[in-house]
Amino acid sequence: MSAERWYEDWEIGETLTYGRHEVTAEEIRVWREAFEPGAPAHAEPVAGWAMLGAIKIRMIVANREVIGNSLVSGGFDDLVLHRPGRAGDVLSIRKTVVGKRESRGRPDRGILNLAYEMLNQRGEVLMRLTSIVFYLRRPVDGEGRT
Amino acid sequence: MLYFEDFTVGDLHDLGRVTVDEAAIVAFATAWDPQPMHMDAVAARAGSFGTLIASGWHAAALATRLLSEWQARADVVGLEQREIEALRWLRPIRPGDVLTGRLEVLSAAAGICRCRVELIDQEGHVATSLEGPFAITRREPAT
Repeated sequence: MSAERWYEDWEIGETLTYGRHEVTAEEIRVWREAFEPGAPAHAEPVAGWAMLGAIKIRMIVANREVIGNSLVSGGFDDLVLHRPGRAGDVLSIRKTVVGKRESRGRPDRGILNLAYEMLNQRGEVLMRLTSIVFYLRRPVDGEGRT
Repeated sequence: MLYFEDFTVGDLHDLGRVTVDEAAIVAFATAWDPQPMHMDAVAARAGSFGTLIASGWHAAALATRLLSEWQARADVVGLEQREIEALRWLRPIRPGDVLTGRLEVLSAAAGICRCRVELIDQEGHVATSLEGPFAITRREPAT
């Protein structure tokens, strides 16, 4: 059961670092076969932006108790790949709340603007992106919401 | 071989097709995005979409797959994508969907083509769209 962390519980400027994923040569090989079939055989085996994104969602799903009641995301903006992931890298996520607002149409939810950074074990930023994520608002009582 | 100089604003390139079956959706979700809507067909039937839907990052990965196959087939020299200005998951991708990739050149300058890449389903709807710069090797080195 996830902790109750609602829209109201996030403050602009707040930063949270979480997750741990060690990149393996085998998962890079499997990913390449499925999603980069055109890559030349001699190309260095690295994790590009899409694989790093998959690792990011893997860490998010594994850390529901830390990040709380998030709902869907419609996409992301301003992705920059500074350096690809390599076998042996131990990745984590640093998330910063850069904006928030209540939903006008859906009073049970709020919208957070989140800046995500994918870090390696040396604290270097491999990739960053910003995301718009819907969060549930704290219920007023057991029945309804504000 | 296609170099930067071979791309002009307004060009449309067919990136090819990929069929997304239930096994692929579940396999991706099991490895990377283990949420019920992506991997539990029974729960998904009762959910708001009525079927399994592919992880958003599966959609992103399929875009890279079609780009990779096109790059190899069309021999696009040095194609590299390190920035995405915007990616949108516009419609869910469901088992049996046949996605066609389309690349449109939005601008071309200094060895960089800004492009829009879309995954279009069998009914003609854009399921996923991304925009951003692609570096492509120039035929003649810049002087």
